Amino acid sequence: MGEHLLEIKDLYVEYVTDDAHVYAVNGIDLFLDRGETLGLVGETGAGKTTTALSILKLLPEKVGRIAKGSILLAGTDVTAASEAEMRLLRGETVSMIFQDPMTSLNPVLTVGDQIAEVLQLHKKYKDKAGVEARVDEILKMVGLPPERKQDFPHQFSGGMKQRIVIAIALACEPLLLLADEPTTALDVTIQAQVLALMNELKQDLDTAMILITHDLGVVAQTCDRVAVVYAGEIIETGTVEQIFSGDRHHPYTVGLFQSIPDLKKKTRRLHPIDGLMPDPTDLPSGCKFHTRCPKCAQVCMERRPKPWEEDGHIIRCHLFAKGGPEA
Amino acid sequence: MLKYIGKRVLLMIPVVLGISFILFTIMEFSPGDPARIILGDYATQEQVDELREEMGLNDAFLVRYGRYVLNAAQGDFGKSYRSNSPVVGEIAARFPVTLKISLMAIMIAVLIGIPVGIISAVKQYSFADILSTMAALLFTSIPAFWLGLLLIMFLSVQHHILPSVGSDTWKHLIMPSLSLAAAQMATIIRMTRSTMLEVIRQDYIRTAKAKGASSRRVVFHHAIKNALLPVITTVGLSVSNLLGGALIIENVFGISGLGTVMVNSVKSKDTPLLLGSVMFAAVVAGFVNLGVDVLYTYVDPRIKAQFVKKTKRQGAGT
Repeated sequence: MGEHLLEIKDLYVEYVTDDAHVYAVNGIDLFLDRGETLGLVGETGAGKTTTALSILKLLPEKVGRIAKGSILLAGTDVTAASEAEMRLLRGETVSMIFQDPMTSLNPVLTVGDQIAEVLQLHKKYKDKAGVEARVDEILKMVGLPPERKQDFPHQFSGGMKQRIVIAIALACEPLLLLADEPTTALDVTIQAQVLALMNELKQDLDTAMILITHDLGVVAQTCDRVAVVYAGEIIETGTVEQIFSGDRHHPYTVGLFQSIPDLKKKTRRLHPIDGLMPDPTDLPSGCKFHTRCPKCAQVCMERRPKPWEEDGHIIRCHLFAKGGPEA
Repeated sequence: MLKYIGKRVLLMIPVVLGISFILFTIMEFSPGDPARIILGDYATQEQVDELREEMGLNDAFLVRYGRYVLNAAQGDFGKSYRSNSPVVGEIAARFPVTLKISLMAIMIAVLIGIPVGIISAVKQYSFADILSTMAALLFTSIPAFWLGLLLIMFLSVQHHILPSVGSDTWKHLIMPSLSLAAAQMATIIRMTRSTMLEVIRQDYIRTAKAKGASSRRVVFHHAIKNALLPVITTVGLSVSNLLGGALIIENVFGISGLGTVMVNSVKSKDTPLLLGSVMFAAVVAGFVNLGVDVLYTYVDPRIKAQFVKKTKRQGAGT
């Protein structure tokens, strides 16, 4: 304990607006060690991005707030840290690759300036020449010619913009990288390149990474551990082996895997999970998956399941609680 | 770029032609005889007829218009019916005052409007925001001439701080500029506020924050440049509005600028002077807007690229 790079305990995040009270994250626990990659998997709206933004303390102002819980990042309690303390962490200790590369870069500043900014803000180099050299280096690392640093974002393609976003995130060699669907906006060939690049960089820099995605293939390829998020809760977490080839799973995880086409088996139909994710303004009682769960029992509607654990493989489901769902 | 500017300047010619034709037609149909106005009520009908013949007023409408355009194309805008001095000279004598008032007004509008708009957006729903939004609404609603009269009443009549009539010193120009500036300032405040609000919700602002930039740096380095792009266009349009507003304000404050010239030339059916001054104002407005568009290309790299790309490609090809 206390040794982890990132430790989130019992995190609750809410969005409060005039018309609705959205429960985005409901009691997430997770940890991450140096150099480790955690895949955060789940449907759109499950609370993955919200969790990442909470770590940066960049939830939408006035609307989003951390209601409960703690986030310990490299020894700092993020939930209690001041804005000034957070500014020191952002960019240097933790940085984020945002979902949409098309809108994540400032259209009126050159990409070189945008990469250099993070270096200048954290005073990584004493003089301008040092900063410029580092910008060239980082651009080469992400596979872009350094001469193009004078160009503006609109002069780059989507895949190149994503590389620039990655370059900004990695410029200060952060301890923790939050990658929010870094490949979703890209076409498949570029996806493979970007993933390979991120893997490479992770090995070179020993950066820990939280990879947010709904693409299980990407998870299998890049992650050490996986956390499956549903309606703001982690319903199952474990190593990639435990999740992908273990024999005990949360019914939701089973459903997720069944909805992926398998090339080896001949099936006529895919098996999607029936229904939709519950409305985060009006979550069901008990286990939040019970409305869609094929194995739902009486207790599932009444009580939130306690975690079942074996070798770090945690499942939150009454099926695995002592004595089964009847107890 | 030069090609583009040339094209824009050439496009002004049909605009000016259109304006001159419309004005010429209106003056044709409005009552009153220029010859009679020049000679006065006591002249005999023979004298008037003689002068009409001399001025070519008896020719057909299109013949007169065509003659005017041909002369104007050669730089001869005719002589004022009333003062019998060249139109160009009249305009040159009167325009500087109008220019001074307009420049002062636009400076007031920009220097107050933009910062207030930015504060208003950054501190949305704060007391300052509500106050500035209300002030903006108030100033767009107040007619400039009424504001001018209020200023005269308060600052000249009651407190004797500023002179009410004339344009001799810079003190004379303060109240006209203020009354002119008010509405434009309000427009700029509202425009700046709305574009700024839009910009600070953009993803790249979050990217900047995620780098560890302070909120001050985020506003001044990342947001302002993006937010001011549409504001520049608004300022350009304001200049055209100001030239129109000057027409009324100059009369309120008894300033003999271009606006007064226009009003008087309508009253005295002085067609050459009216056409000359209105066309001049139109060309000034046209050039200001062209200047704004050129400035735009220097601020926004995306627009600049439309002009640069060609040469770059040629360079790459050879």
